[in-house]
Amino acid sequence: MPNTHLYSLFGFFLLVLAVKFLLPTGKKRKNLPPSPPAIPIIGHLHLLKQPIHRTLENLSRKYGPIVFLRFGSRSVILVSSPSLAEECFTKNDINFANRPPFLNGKHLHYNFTTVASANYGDHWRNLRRICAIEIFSSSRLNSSSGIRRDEIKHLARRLQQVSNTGFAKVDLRSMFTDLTFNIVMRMIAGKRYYGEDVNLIEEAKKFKETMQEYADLGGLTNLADVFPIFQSVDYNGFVKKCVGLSKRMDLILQGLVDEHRRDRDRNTMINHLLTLQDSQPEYYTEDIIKGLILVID
Amino acid sequence: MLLAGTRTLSTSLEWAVCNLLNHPDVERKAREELDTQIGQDHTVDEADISKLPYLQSVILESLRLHPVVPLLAPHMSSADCTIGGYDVPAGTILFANAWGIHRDPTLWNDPTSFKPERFENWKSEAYTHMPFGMGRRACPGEGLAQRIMAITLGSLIQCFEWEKVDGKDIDMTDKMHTLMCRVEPAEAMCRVRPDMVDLLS
Repeated sequence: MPNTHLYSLFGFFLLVLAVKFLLPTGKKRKNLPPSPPAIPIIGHLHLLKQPIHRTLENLSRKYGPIVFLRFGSRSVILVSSPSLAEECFTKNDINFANRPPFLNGKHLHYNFTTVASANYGDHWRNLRRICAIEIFSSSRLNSSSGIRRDEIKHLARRLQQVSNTGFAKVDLRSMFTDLTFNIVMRMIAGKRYYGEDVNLIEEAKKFKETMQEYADLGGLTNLADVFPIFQSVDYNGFVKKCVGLSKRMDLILQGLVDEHRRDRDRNTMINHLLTLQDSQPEYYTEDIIKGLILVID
Repeated sequence: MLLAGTRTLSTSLEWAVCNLLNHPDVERKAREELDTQIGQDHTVDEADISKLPYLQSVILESLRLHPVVPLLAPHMSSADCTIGGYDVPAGTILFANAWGIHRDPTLWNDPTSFKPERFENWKSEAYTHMPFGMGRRACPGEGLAQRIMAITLGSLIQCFEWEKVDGKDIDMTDKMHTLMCRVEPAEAMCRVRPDMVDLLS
């Protein structure tokens, strides 16, 4: 008697399997790229050891030029051959032209409206056009080449002073950090943040610290980015931190824009953007201008 | 501009100088090119860059070995598609490992060595060298970054001699701190070239 039960149970089980695999269900099973063994819920997050590019390179060597991964509830593909990169960035370029909706894009990037964080669409295309014409065109770059020449000359003079009598030790990181900050700030706002003026030195210090904090909160660093379910509760204070930081940055950027309202003669990125605002104020809002100053892809 | 244009650039410049410090022969060759093409009547300018193919190769080679955004900025798909014959669902995040492609031994000869010569007569082969990303969302500031790197490195090589601190090779171990950078800030010894003193004062 118990045997009969067992047989009928087994038969039922076979029937379920047959229905599942043999009958057409209307939906084709997905043929996903090769994938390492995953752990329930976290997926492959446990594999992500730093430095991440080396770790992922090892996975590609093992599983091939396209690997499917799960970071929490996010699907990820990792591509590591020129032909597959080409397939992604030519034939499928528009399809892949969105950005992941991470929390920092929302809270540090004017609610996904900057050119770095916005999804593909009219708004993003327009920002890219502004970048190409108003910021990075050859004529714009040529007209600001004097700034760069001047800043590099400043750097060279400083190096000459310290090395006049023989070899001198220099810290490359701080040297290049100062150089690029000075060049970019002069191109954006026409401001020089060094010299004797104590107020300016203080302002530059605050500015650099705020930028560093921005950099530290960038990237895939937050659990709620891979488990969006946590986005509704700010369990670790990340959102609060972002909101405070973006307010401080916004004040600095607004200050730069307001300075230009009082002086419209500078050949700066802000002035070019304010000229656009004069003709189309409803589109070139303050947030759009500040977003462009803040970040470019 | 602030976030994408400052640290990426300064970190790339730091890598480039470290590569030069570890390869004095490359530094010498770049200086010879600068001396021949520009001489000593002015410091290298953006208009000179096209006359300096070796300097450009040095920059390409440094960006190949040390792309500061090694996985490029993440992209995300808006619709289902197929890549390499596999299904990729909508909403999938794409990482392209530029760092891995830049060091792939099937694409590059002796890939871990710093050899700017490999870029002489190099035809920009698609998708083997992509430090600025690819496609519509590639870095819009690439042209500016190339200019700044070229005139900065050009001026530093043209006007100064560079040496390692205590003659020790620079450790090129990298770490990720939102960007790929050296573990410790690098230091170097520098001295103004005697015949450049007048030009700088």
